[in-house]
Amino acid sequence: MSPTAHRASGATVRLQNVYKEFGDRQVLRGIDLEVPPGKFLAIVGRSGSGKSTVLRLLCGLDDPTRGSTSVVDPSGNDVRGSVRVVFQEPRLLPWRSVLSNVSLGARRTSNHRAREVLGGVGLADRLHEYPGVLSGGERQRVALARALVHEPAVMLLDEPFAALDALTRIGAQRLVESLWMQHGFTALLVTHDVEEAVLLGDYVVVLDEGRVIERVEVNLTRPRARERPEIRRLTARLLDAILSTPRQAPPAVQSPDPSCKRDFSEFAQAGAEERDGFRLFIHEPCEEEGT
Amino acid sequence: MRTARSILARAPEGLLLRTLAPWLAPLGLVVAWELLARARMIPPTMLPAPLSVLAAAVRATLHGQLAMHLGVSALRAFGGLVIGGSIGLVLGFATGLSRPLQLLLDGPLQMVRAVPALALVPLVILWLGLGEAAKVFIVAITVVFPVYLNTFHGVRSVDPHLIEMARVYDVGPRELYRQVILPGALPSILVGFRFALGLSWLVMIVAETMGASEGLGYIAMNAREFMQMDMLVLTIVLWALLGKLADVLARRVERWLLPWLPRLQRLDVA
Repeated sequence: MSPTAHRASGATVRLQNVYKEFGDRQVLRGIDLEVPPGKFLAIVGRSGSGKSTVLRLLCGLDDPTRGSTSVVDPSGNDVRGSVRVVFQEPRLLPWRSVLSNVSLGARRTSNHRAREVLGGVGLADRLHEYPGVLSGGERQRVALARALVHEPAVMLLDEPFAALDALTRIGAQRLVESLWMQHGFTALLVTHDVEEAVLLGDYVVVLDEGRVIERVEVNLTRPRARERPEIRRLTARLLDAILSTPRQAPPAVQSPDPSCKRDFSEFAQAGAEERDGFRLFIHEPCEEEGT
Repeated sequence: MRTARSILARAPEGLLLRTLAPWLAPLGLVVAWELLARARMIPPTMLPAPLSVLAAAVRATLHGQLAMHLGVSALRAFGGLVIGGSIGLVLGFATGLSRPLQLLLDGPLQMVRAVPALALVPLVILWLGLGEAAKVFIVAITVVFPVYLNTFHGVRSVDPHLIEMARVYDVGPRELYRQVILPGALPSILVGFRFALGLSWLVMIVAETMGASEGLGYIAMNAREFMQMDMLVLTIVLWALLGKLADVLARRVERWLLPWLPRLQRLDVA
């Protein structure tokens, strides 16, 4: 299926010359981004590059110090209220069942609708469980369903796969891609996994020190196989872009899964050794480990 | 997966042992006590035998006063618990939800907390006399603080991630309180109440020894006056049993109100 095949009910997301300061710490320094309706933007960067802050500005958890953000549907209406977020942690209410977690804050959504969406993420048989008995992947799917139940125009995904194990992560990535194609929302994914960004994004931008240092449009059919040479080449190029920037603070990038060390310093070392061959895929054995 | 619950359920003999185990030690003690008393190794004037304590219990029940005294005591403790608990709850929510109120109230409350409630007894007697009000007052003021502290702590320890999520999902202030903050604080609040329940029993006896004409404390004082050792021991045993009963009830309530908490869904020893 081509990326344009899905129905375009998404909104245009725009950031214009956005600056954000927390105290005297400059987190964003002049971000300009525009995501057309129904497109998938992946934002990668090191920890502290400001990528999560972009999402926090868009969902109204923070306000930009300077510049402006907007979320408008194709007819020009402000649809900021139709932005939904999936966080790195599922953030489910432990005292409510899966079903009523999904209905949270959705005054107009019927139980029927919540059931339907939960069925869509493969949890039709766990409606009345408490989140405490679900696995990490299942909880994240509940969080996805909770966002989907509102028929969002824009879905913000803040490293939603980072805490999942390698196999669950692949399943979750596919699920998000298919839900995005099916529902047609505009998606903004923040991740520190460059390959993930290349696999999912129509556009990939690299953020460093609060600035966009690289923009790529990925014109490949979906679903994209990670073995494709274009994917590998692009992943390597973007990693290069990230790693070639001068590093001020020591990298605080941690992988939540200790069996899969995706630390950038490791990439950097391997990159230095193998740069001539232009193969930087030392994270690949890590994936096979999970297979 | 399938939690610890099913693992335990698969071991019925373990369950039986777990149910009986807590009773073994007290039972053995009572048997030993009875045997020693019969062998005249414990003089009855020092400690009456269990059977004579039981006889005293039967006597007191038949005369109709024991149930009444117990009822009066329970009512006092419960009244104090409700009044003090409500005050603690309101104060805890106020300081937990609002920084200015915390600044205003928490300091003074901590100062009052440092005063032992029993040090207030003479003052309370002068204020309220020796009647019911004084006893309920003593219980209430003791109970305020555990409830207050745990409510405050509970409200403050609600996961800020959940509050942030609720904001993004358009949950209004009322719903935020009802669906996120209250249930999030509830486990801690219930811990406060359980603790308060124990405390209320504790201060009751003191309250009842200051010139009461009924209640468990009154029976104990009366028994001392007349050297009725069996009645005196009976009150102590009743105290222990009622305390245990209150605790079991509190656990039941906890399990009923917090069905989602994994630690409560285990088969714990009641």
